[in-house]
Amino acid sequence: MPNAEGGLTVAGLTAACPECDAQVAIGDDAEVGEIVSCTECGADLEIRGLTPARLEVAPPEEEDWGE
Amino acid sequence: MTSPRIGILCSRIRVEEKLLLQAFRARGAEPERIDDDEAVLEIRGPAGAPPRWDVVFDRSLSQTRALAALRVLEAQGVTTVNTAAVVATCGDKLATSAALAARGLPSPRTLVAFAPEAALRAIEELGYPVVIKPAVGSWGRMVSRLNDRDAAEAVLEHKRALGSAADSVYYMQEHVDKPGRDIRSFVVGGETICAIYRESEHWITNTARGGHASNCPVTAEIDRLSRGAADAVGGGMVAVDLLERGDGELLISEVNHTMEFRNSIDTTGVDIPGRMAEHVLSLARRPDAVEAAS
Repeated sequence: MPNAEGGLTVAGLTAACPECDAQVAIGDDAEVGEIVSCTECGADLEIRGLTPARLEVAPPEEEDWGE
Repeated sequence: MTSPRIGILCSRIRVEEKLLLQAFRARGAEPERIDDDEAVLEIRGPAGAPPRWDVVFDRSLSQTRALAALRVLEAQGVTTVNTAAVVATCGDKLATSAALAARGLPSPRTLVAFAPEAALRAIEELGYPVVIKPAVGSWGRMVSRLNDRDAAEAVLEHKRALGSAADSVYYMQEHVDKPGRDIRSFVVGGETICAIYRESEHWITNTARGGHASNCPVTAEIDRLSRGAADAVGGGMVAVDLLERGDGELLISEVNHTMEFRNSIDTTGVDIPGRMAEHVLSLARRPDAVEAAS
């Protein structure tokens, strides 16, 4: 369950999914800007911070994105 | 020697960017992340304070943002990989085709028209099936194969009714009846470092669209065309897509300036992010270096 500070539970870095409020695990080697999927609702989430861990819904793919 | 100041322009940290950051760190460099959502850049010349970075490595997902940022950074005197010129050429299929043709490099026959009626004439001249692509776009988006006149008329009508001004450039290509696969080669520092086959049941073989990757030995011809294509677009660190005709002739289909490689490292056994990081670092160590494929 998310805590009062906006979803961070310290042990094993997790953060609340902004879409469904589930706790999403974040790997030790995570980078800010990385995309993770919520295991509960499947939303694509962008890691916006690591200390504390913070997730936002990832922006949708833009027309000019590519390689 | 002070350690080089590397900037890495990015939107999202995908597997590729993570591997690149790890590769830089393994070589004692810590690139500064330039988030294209956050960046504020000043348009100014190289006079005055030295630029913040020696080299900026573009890994932005957005071609529009990348091109704009690279132009500003180059004016400041920053060495860029890839350069704005490479991004401008690779980001536009028509510009890529023109650059390849100017060098006499083989690519599928391509016709361009600017109105639906003329586009239909071009399609019929090429003969069905014909591939029609938006000049700007990636990952196989909006690429259509037209098998007959009905399909051609439908797609042209949709482009006319729903498209933007950019859609009034009709870019039409002969359909190459490739053997269920195409080839992607990787050019770093003017060298073809490896290649993969991309196989798919679907005629669009992009791995972003579910294509399967396997190792492709770099033949002399793959090497020649890959380096030629990289040179033609302005000397870049690029991934080159090649199509095989039934008789084995190779054609250059596309040149990608922000290459994805996650499925090609184990496949080829080549440390692609390591090679990319080393190339960027080599440019940073060369004062006034310019990215060059030669």
